[in-house]
Amino acid sequence: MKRGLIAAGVAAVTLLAAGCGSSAASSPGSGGSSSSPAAAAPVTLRLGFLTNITHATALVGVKQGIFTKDLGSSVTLKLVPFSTGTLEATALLAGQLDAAYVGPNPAIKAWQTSGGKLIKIISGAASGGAELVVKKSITTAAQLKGQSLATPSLGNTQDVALRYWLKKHGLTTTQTGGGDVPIKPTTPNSAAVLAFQSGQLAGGWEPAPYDAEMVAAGGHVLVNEASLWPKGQFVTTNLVVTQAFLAAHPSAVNGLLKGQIDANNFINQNKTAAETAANAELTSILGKGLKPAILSAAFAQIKFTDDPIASSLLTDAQHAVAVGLLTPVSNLKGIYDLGPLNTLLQAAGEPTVSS
Amino acid sequence: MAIKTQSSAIEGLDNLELGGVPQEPRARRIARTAWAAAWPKLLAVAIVIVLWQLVVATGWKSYVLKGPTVVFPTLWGLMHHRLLWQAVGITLRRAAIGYALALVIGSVVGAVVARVPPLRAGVGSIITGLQVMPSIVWFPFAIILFGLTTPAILFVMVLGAAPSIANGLITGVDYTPPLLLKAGKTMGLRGFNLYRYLILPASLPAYVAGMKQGWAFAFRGLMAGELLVLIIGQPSIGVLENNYQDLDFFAGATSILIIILIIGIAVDTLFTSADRAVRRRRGLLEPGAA
Repeated sequence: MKRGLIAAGVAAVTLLAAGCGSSAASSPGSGGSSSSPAAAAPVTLRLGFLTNITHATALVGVKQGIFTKDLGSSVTLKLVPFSTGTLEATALLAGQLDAAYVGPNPAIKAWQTSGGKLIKIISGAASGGAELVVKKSITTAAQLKGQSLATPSLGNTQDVALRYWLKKHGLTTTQTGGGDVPIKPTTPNSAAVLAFQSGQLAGGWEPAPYDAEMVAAGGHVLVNEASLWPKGQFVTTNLVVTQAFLAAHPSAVNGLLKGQIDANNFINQNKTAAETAANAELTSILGKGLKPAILSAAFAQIKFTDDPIASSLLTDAQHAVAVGLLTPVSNLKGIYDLGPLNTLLQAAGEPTVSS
Repeated sequence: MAIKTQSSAIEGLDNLELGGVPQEPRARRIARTAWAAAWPKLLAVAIVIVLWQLVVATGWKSYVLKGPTVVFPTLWGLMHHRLLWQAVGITLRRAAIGYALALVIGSVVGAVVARVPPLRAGVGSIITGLQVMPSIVWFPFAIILFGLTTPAILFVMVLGAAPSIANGLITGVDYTPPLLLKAGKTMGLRGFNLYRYLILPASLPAYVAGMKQGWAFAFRGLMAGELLVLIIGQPSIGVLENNYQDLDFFAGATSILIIILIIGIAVDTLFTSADRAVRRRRGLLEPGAA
């Protein structure tokens, strides 16, 4: 009797698991066969993004209805906001997102963890917009010894940048907050600003607008990350899609890319309107918007470009390897699929980008 | 000689209430008990591993769900690093301190509340109310009070565990047979001595049950705290799990889960054997039985 029950339980769980497995495996396949004849078949696109101004392309694109227009009526856009890129990378790996605006290091991590099978970077979105802000009494790297600093999360883009910069200045860090400079990954970023304000942290390497908020909270900029890169250009935000979604719904991805280009054009042409839109979207997600001064300061740091600045991605990966947050990646070149983007850029008469 | 035999026979009389003396050779008995305790657990572990492997074999969430063949070597690898043992040490130290505090506070509160009727009416229901509050809701408050520090975690552990321990003691006191109380008082037991020699031993079973439940709440509070209150420079089990998730090191995160499970089972074994000792002393268990 008892044994029979256990056997039945095992069988049930196995069936359940097998069911999940086959449905996950079959959905891209079935979509692939139907995508070319019936582009209007309803599709849900789950798009992840961060609630930072460095992701303003997503914020503005959503608020202004640019994505909805470019994706067409057959695509239902489901927005999934995150507070840090590492959580977003985990969600991508767990199959909870089809596309995401994500920083370079989480993108590399998702690429590497999946053995190059999960994602492709199909566009850049933003360059710049990260700073090391510390209390005013600290004016040199050496003074940081023993001071606690915040980053958005362990292994995210700013975390790698801070650890690498400290290493270059001869200061050690560990993943558990030891070493010369204790690093305290703090999620959400606004909590880092509060901890800085209350004196629990000496500063942090944060993406816009949180660097600007730290300055407003009495800090000063010790390092503007742009000063560390050739021509001040480095990728902060990429647009990635899962390879399964790209293969199954190329027209939806095309719509997303169109939205990406249009959103960046809107930001670059209507600065004030873009700031208002981004802030309105942030307010509706977080329940709290940014002060006008911080909003403008954040936008001023960032260059919104569709160029993924491929050279900086490779350097980012090398930095992560150097600080022990990544094992060396050999096939990083294959991470890009910029063909569809370039086709759209060419059609619009804009300069193309390269991987 | 004759007198001595007689006196031990008389001593034996009051031992009738308690369990008898084991007859089996000691070593064999221990081996038998150990095996009897171990095989159901080993079977359960085997079933879990087989189910786990089956789910992994279906390819469900293959980028994040790692199977036993990946996780166990990872766990073995982690066990060769100082960091893991440092983390286990910090977590266990917090567990011990937090639980000891809860034990003292819970016992004192329980003892006082159980014997003072007005307190009983007022505080008793508050204790039960506290007991059902999920420990995680205390964390924002604890962080405000203590900041991101170990005392914040200990505070929540005590709030979680102490009510259970107090309630266990109160229940035990309630169920002390009135006849025993009368007999004790007749024999001159008063105040602290009444507690020490009569009420406390009489309420031991419910008290131990309360302590066991208190441990469960304390451990939950501790784990929740370690995931929420990340203290710089103190690598605990919770910090490691958080880090491995951030680093997309899913085999590592799964390994940490196994370690948490092992700690839980090990402590449960301690409580079970304490419970068993109590029952055996009262003759509620066959001597030497599992």
